[in-house]
Amino acid sequence: MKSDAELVDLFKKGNQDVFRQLLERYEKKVYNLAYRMLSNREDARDISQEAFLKAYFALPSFRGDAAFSTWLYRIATNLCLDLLRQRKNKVVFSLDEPFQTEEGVLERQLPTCEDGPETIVEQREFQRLIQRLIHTLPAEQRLVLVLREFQELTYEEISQTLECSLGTVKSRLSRARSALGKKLLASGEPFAFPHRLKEGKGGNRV
Amino acid sequence: MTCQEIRDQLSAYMDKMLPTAQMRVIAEHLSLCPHCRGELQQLEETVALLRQVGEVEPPPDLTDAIMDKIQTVAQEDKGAAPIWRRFQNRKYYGGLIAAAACLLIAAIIVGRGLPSFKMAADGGLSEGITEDVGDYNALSLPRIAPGDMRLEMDAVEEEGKDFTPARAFGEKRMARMVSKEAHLTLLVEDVDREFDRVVFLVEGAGGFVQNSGTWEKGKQRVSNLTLRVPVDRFSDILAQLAELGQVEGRELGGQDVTMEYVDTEARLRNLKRQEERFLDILQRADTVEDILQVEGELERVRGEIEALTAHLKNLDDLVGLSTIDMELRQLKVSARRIAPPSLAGVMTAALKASISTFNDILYFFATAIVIGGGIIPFLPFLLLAYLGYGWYKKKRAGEGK
Repeated sequence: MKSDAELVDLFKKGNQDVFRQLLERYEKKVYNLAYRMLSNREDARDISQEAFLKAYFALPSFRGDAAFSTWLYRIATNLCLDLLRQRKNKVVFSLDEPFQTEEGVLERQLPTCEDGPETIVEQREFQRLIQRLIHTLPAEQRLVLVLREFQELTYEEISQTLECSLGTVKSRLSRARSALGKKLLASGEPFAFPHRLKEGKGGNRV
Repeated sequence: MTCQEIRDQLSAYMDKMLPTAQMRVIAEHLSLCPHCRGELQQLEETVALLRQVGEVEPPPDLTDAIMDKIQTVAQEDKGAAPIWRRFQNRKYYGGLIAAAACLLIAAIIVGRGLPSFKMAADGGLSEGITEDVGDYNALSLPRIAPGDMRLEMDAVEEEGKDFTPARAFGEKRMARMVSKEAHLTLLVEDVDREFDRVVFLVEGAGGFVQNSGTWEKGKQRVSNLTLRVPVDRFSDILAQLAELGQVEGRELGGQDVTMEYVDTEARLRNLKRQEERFLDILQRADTVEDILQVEGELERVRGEIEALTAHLKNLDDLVGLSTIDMELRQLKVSARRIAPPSLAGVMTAALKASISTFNDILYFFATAIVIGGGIIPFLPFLLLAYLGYGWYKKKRAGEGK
């Protein structure tokens, strides 16, 4: 198994077939990043495609100042932010997202081909809730949160990806986490903090 | 440290991303403050919850789709004319149109200063193609034969010896020193209404009404107007005025005041030199008698200078503003008579209109070709700018945007 840097080197030397390996390695990560940012699988697909396309053609001029992954994430996050900015004034209907009516929030009921036990249904609803709440955060906060909690990047890597200072990462992440915590509590969903009872975390609480 | 300050750092504390001393301060605070402890717990639970969220699976065909797309684009990039291929993309149409519009405006602005455009504007085009306006244009430049000019020049030169610089100046203006005049008699249905329209039209074009009057002559209402209009709008205004009614009479004339102008200028220069000389003499005069005599002469010279200056100004005025004498007469409309338009008249009008439109079209294309020609020298710069932009974009993409 070759490292990213070795593959990039090979690519630059003209062996462009190795790009497939890089793609396979990061496709899921990039797709997830885009999905968490945009809450929409169609957009996530488009953004992933565009990000790798850009990466492919820009790779020859990639200087290796940061890790390949960081560089790739930067391309993807910029594409996401561009799209969000473009969409700011447009109404977009998402298949995954609940939509607002005059009587309140309606979940879209989509037929699913995956039959499964209740746990899967529960898991799905939990996923949806989280995604919906994340989506209400401002894009910048959402981005830091996604990179940290889903992509599991270090603070250092996040600051390189977003080209901002460590302090900014810290404060944005802090705001995003606490805002999300409050939203979770306010949502009042039974599975919002299921482990609170199960695990009995934080001894002084019941 | 206040609780708020502590809380702002709990997120980083949780990830152990604070300096050791800071970590210790916060740990200490937490052991004492149940509220902040609760806050930390909520944060930890939130994060734990988020970490439970699994990854979503990308569509299974995504890898192949991306590789295919890369291959396609790579092929296109190697294709014969990438620039044109890019222009096929609708995304660029808006930009292209905007660029073309800017270019056109720039070309017109710059082009006004360029000979190629001037040539077209000054005559090449208008003489050849336009039909109606041509009549007026023909009178605008009754050029003076070079021979005549020389004679006049020689005569002037005898008077002033250092005339050479002025001569160049005179020659430059000479061809344009024509005061234009027109007489126009119109039959109109409502004299007062048309009167107002004339005033409106002339004032809108930067001219003014010098004299006007209206009276009843027999049973016919008549208005007379003396209009002064900027010389460059002369033909244009005249054509517009003629459309206000039925033209009964039209007379065009021009008076060449070039010689008069040059002559007056030369005399003025001479007088000014004389004035200087008298002033010089006045300085040196010592007897009262001499002084009085010289002052008398000075007064005479100055009077003449004033008169000539006023004359020049008058000539300038005459040349800069053309005069249109206009008479509006009431058309006698007999209410009983039905006057259907004659077939021949309609046909003539139609023919005229079609010729006029045809001329407009020809003029449009001719102008377009001239402007197009004017743009050609800019093309290398545009190409350069385009390549530079492409390079910049590539560089930006290379840096991960």
